[in-house]
Amino acid sequence: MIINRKFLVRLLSIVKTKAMRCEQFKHKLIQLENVELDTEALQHIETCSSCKKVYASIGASIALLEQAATPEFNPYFTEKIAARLQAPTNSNGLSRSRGVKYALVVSLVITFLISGLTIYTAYDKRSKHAYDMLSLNDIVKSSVAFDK
Amino acid sequence: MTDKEVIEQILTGNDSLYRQLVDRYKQQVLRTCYGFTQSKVDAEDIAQEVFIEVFESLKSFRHESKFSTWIYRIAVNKSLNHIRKQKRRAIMQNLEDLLLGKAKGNPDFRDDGKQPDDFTDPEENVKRLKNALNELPSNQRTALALYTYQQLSYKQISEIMNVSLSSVESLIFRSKRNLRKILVDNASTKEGGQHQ
Repeated sequence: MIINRKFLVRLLSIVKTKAMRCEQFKHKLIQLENVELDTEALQHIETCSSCKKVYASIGASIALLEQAATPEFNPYFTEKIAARLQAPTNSNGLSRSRGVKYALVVSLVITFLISGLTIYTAYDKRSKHAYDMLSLNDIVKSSVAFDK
Repeated sequence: MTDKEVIEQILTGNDSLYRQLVDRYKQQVLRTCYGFTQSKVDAEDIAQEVFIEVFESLKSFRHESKFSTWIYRIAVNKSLNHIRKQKRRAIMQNLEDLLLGKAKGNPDFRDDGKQPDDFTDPEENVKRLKNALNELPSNQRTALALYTYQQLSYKQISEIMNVSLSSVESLIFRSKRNLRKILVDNASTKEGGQHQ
């Protein structure tokens, strides 16, 4: 029993230190100016696979941002602009259909809410009546003595 | 020919000279838009809108600021509007799917055989960075995009954003820290089960 208790205390302390280290590691990772870690943090990721993955993820994303890598854009970009400036604007129909779509969704949401509220209130009223009727029935069901 | 001279020529009716302006600024505008959207297609669409708006409002440009500052401002505003519209559209789409009972698979969660924790996949990394950038407040995001993708000086950024130099410095510092925090939180959530 004593051994078991000692074992549990030790296990708990291990779990606690690991949890602290993960939190500390994450905190350190946020505070870092670059993505280089100190020896303590490096030791931690050697023992914690999830923190290792988090570190790899941050490293890859920050590297992307620092490279500021942009793809090759359309070489005919200028020609596209020139063509658009010459062509008459034809976006009215598109925006109108999008507007109709939004209006439809909004009206559907409102209808859904109103019908939901109506059903809820109707159900609420009906259940009240049902309760009243039940109490009346109860009175009828009670034994009645008839005098002959 | 300077920008001012080209603009004056365009305003007198020589529209063909506008191509010169587009050629001069298209890379900067495209890179700025890409810094916000992290999508080539979206960046090109927004950049087109920017140049069309610039052409239509050339008359109102009073040369109080540099032409480059003005065009950057338009690019930043258009990009921020695009992101707002995209968010609104996503909400509407979700509502529509919910109401019409569409069981359409979200493209973000489509099974393409790739693992979300595959940090060697450049597409996944771009998606992760895009999501994190989306969570940044718009002023921090603007400062970061102009600083990293355009490598503009704090002074230039302050002129474009109409804020003080110290504000730009603080915005960039906070944006980097917040971005790291968001990336750490998102990655930890994915690793949630194992993390303690």
